[in-house]
Amino acid sequence: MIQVNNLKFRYTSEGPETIKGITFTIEKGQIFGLLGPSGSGKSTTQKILYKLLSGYEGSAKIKNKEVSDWGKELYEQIGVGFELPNHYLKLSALENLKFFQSFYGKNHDPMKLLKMVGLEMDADKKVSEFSKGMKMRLNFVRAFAHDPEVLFLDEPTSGLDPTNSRIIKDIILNLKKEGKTILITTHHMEDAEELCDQVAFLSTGEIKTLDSPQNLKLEYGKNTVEVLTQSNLEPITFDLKTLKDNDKFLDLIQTEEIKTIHSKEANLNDIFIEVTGQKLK
Amino acid sequence: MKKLAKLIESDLKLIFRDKTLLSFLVLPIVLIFVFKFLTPILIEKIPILEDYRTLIAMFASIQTAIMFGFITSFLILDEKDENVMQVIRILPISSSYFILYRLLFATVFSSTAAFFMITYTDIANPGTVNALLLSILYGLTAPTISLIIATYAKNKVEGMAYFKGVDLLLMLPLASFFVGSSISLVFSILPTYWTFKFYDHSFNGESSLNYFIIGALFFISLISILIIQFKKRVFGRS
Ligand SMILES: Nc1ncnc2c1ncn2[C@@H]1O[C@H](COP(=O)(O)OP(=O)(O)O)[C@@H](O)[C@H]1O
Ligand SMILES: [Mg+2]
Repeated sequence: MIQVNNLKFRYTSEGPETIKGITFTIEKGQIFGLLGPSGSGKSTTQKILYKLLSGYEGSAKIKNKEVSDWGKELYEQIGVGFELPNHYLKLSALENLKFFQSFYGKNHDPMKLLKMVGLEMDADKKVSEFSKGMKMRLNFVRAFAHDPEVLFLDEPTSGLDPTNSRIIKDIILNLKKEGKTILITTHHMEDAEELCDQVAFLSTGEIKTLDSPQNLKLEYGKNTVEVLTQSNLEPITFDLKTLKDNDKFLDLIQTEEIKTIHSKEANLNDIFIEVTGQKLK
Repeated sequence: MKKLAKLIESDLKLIFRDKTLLSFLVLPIVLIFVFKFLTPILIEKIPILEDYRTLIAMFASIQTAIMFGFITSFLILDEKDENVMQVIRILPISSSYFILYRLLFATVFSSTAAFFMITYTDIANPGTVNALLLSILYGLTAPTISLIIATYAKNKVEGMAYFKGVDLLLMLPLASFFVGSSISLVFSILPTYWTFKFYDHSFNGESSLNYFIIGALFFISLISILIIQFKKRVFGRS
């Protein structure tokens, strides 16, 4: 559905390359995550794909057509969830949705959309009276209000409390079930792990690695077991794979009183640091 | 048509919910009545003003016409501020459609108000046909002022300053009626010079159509250049 090949971009002709030749493919019905710390080029990549930025090098195709060749009809096919709220502050949530929907051929019922994210009681409230989180939820539903095939979501859960974050993630998973293709950018590893079929680690405009979260964990994960006993102050770490043959471990659990015992799986956060040498946040 | 109706509906909502914009919407109506009833009284008190009827009408009409330029420019400044411009850019309509709609919106309102100012107040009525042509020229000042503010002002405070500055510039050619004809030509670099000349000549029953044509072409060229600038500086940005 989306093919990006050796994509490069600079904001000014003399300026540095912000995107330094990235390559990835998103199949129909997949959720693809671009992960990286702030400033790594996630939003820039998205903006190139939905044509808010022009003048890229390399290739970026949506539905087998080069992005630069797409006209305005592209926007019937795609939906964009912006990183920051952008609404008419003097219009109500419902008026905002209806206004933007009036430019599309087909649309979801706006009240249903508001209800999905718990804004049905605030439908007639002016957006200027909304909190940042409410504005972001409105941003999110507007992205797929015209039922697009492809969705671009820039940090869809940022600034949301756990409850609302959960609601958003469930909706995203439902959209996937409906066969939508989704590109998400985030610096929340937990979200990426839960939502994405594929993740790409972006660091200073380069993709350092690209795989499914499961494979990344298999490849980079050092799965261990931490045992804390009565007589030791610090937990002792054992390799999970070789546990059954580890005499020291077997001895420990037979002789000592165990306080806690935890298996430690590598998470994407650790793997990101290992691969890029950079922290995510 | 559905899109156009929605654009007009939401623009009117945005204007009516903003005290400043609403007052600028009402101001032309107030001005029309003030000039209609005050001008005869003034002329009676200060008879010399009789010689300046056309100048008064020119001034009154330009003040009426620019209000809608101000209103649309502030609608666009809000869209810049609130980042709605980004959303508009990813709608399946061309940016030209959106820009032209806004400019037409300003022109239609502004021409209508100018027409009433010219005819209804009866300060200096050049006849219906001339008044209609004059209204077009006055109407075109609205998109001009709107584009200048929307393109170059960074925020509303700057927008207000630009508005006052451009208003002054547009009135400046009124001075051409007080100076010799050679110096008066200096003002021809401002588009309203041609509007005022057309007004003066048509009111006095002299041949005047050339002034209208030059004025219209001047405004249209100026607006075209400004649209390109606006697209580059405002729409071209992320
Ligand atoms: N409009 C812009 N002009 C110039 N540089 C920009 C602009 N927007 C972003 N950048 C730079 O591009 C880099 C990537 O930014 P961005 O794509 O927003 O990162 P992310 O979304 O991953 O936080 C940053 O170094 C940022 O400073
Ligand atoms: Mg970003």
